[in-house]
Amino acid sequence: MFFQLENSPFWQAIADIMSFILNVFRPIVQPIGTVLVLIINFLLNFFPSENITIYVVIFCVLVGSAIFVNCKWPGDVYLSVYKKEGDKSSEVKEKKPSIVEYLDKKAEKKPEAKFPEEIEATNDSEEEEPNL
Amino acid sequence: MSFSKEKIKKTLENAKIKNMIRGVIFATIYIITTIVIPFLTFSWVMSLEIEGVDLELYQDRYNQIIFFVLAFGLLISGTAFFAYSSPSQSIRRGVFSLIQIILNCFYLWSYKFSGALELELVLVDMGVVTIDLAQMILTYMGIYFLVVILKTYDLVDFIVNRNKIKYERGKKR
Repeated sequence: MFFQLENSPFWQAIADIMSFILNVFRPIVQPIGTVLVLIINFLLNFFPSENITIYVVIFCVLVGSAIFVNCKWPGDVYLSVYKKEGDKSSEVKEKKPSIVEYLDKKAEKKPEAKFPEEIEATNDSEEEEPNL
Repeated sequence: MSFSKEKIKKTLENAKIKNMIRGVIFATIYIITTIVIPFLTFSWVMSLEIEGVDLELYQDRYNQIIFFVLAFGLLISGTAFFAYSSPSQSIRRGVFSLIQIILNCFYLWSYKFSGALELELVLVDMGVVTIDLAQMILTYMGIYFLVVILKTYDLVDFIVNRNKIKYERGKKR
């Protein structure tokens, strides 16, 4: 069946299109691929080529950590206001009060109202002499 | 108070579940395409018969191919799960997509490393058929390199426009 499909015009057309695309891009893409292959050949030396258990462990760690990270940060924190960096028109800066303004404000503050009994009590406590 | 808390909790739960389902779907797709299909193909080639004549793929080469297909297939599927279970346009998705593409390069090249690109099929009593696909793989590697550049750009974009992405994500909801 496989070898019968090989002769059909549909597959031939697909093969022609693919070969055309590959031939057009080959001069640009193949040198880049060669460089990448050199890098990969070097890096493949560090991959263990006998023990599949390491890869299974890495797979399990990836899946486990993905589940943990998703439970912790599912990505539902949104910003209600977006402010472009450097956009000073939308920035509202809080101005710090000067020392004169601060003192004026303090002087304007009214003393808290007290009941007459409380005032007397405070006067008595001030008059009392400490026990020596 | 309790109503809004419940609503937030429910939304969080939904996002978690949605992310997980997406991750599982893509991990399954990658397991099928990088492990199951190549495994079945090589097993089929191993026991292929043309007009009553057995084709024999060397057993040690077959084992090597299966090992690399399994090893890199597992790594790719794991990173695919991590990438696709992350929220869209998030930094972690960008990072793991980039890792996944790099692993794809390794996976593709491991075919060459294991000898799968220079297949020697022994036709008993007739001779040897050799299939060399190295040139095609080189072209694919070049394309993958361009994809690596694209993914790196995506990652930088996600980092730089982090606040904007979060704001727009909130607006969509």
